[in-house]
Amino acid sequence: MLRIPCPHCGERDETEFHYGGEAGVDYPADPSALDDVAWAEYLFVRADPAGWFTERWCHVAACRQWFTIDRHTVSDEFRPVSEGVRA
Amino acid sequence: MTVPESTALLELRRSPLAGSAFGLSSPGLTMVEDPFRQLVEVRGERPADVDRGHVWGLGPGWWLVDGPPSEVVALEAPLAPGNRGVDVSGQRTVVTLTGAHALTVLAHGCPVDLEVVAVGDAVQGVLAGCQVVLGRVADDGWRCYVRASYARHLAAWLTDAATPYR
Repeated sequence: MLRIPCPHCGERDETEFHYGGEAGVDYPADPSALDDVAWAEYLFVRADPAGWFTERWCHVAACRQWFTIDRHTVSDEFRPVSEGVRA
Repeated sequence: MTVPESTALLELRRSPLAGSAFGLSSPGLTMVEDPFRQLVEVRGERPADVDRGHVWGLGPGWWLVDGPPSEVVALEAPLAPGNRGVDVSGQRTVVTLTGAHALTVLAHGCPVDLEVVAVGDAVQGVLAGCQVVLGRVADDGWRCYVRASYARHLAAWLTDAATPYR
């Protein structure tokens, strides 16, 4: 079980959280202008690094806040979002 | 069709743990349901304290005001300008745990470290699979707010968990 550091509640069990996927994926400014390839890219294609990954979590069982955090996909360590990455 | 008096209607209320024979009174642990509290969730600034009640912080800008039962919905959560309040009295019931073993019993089923919760603070978390609010009213006194539909499961679990302390 992951222990996830919620910025409001502290470290809690993974079962209290909902996973929100990769952070910083913007809704297209003009979605109707996209062709199918670009739309599918927006919907389905995410980075899949073996290493640090910036992702969204929601602490649904407690404070119900969404937050952004870095997780190492190999070691499952957590760290605050690194400088320069948008929340 | 005649509409019954409001007091007659109140007699029709059944608390979530009515008839479940829940309750324990032993030297080290007292558990009892505290039903029909007036509960109001407030978003915004911290509301003012309530007479014979509690104000718990649930999250950033999110509060639970717990006031005494009333025959009419009378709890006016003292709202600061810009605050919003919603009556959620029917959503949860309250179980109080008092005594030297109260924290131990809760810790049997709650992975949150309750030792570090200050008196007057509340934590939300999962207790025996139920999402609950645990408010600390004293060193050895807790109020557990549980959803009505989970109350019987939690009561059965608490009764079982308290077996060594009866």
